Amino acid sequence: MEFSTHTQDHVMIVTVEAERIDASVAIAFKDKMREQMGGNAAQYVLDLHKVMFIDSSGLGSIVAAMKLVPQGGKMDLAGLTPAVDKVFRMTRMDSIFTIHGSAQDALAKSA
Amino acid sequence: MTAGSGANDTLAFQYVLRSTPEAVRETLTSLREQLEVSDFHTCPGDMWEVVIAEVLNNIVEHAYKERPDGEIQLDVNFQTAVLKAHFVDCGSAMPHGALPEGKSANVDVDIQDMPEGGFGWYLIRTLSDELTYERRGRENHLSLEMPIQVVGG
Repeated sequence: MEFSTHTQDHVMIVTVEAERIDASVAIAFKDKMREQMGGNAAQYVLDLHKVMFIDSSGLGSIVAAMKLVPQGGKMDLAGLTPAVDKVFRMTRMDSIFTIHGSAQDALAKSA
Repeated sequence: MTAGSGANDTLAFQYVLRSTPEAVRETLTSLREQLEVSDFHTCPGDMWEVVIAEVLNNIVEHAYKERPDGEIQLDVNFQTAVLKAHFVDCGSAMPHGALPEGKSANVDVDIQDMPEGGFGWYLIRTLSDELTYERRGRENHLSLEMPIQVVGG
């Protein structure tokens, strides 16, 4: 489970460098996210544009990551591909996250 | 592991896999690769992969209770507008001999109380047309059908 990160204007973009977030990586995903949350940023954007597949365990690990955001901070999502977007909408998880078309859109809105 | 047979309008695959999340991932990746080299191209937002994943994950986590040495048989049949899948395992029976109801998770709660699981059966039930479960001796048999969209072909 690889991430790349980029911080701009106090927003940390965390790009998931994997095609799948599934049951076999859900725990590793949550642990990696916890490491990312240790920094000074309070605003995060999880960029999922490279993720082509997510299952309910993967979805659960993103919800778990959101709970790790320090008080007063937030975690938005960006770049949902069609199958990932559908899983979020079907489970109504789209209603608990702010979802941007791309990481650039997210930065433009926070600027 | 897999035998793809391509009658004109049907593509059939059979897998036997171990009860681990890694084997589930390998199987799904293999299925997707097999489809890509075939004449069957499903739409990018098609949900068949998540349905098969949720059933397999459920067998790994609940029927075999995360024991890695269980065996799962999977038959998948792609047709022009429908996918049929049959799953056999020798793990524990479904509680009360029936499939879980699969209610949607309640998301109208505080962030810290937000559910991190329990979406699987909801997705399976919502996306499948036909869903049957039967305990035969020591085996669990689950069959499902769901609509798919094939492009090209």
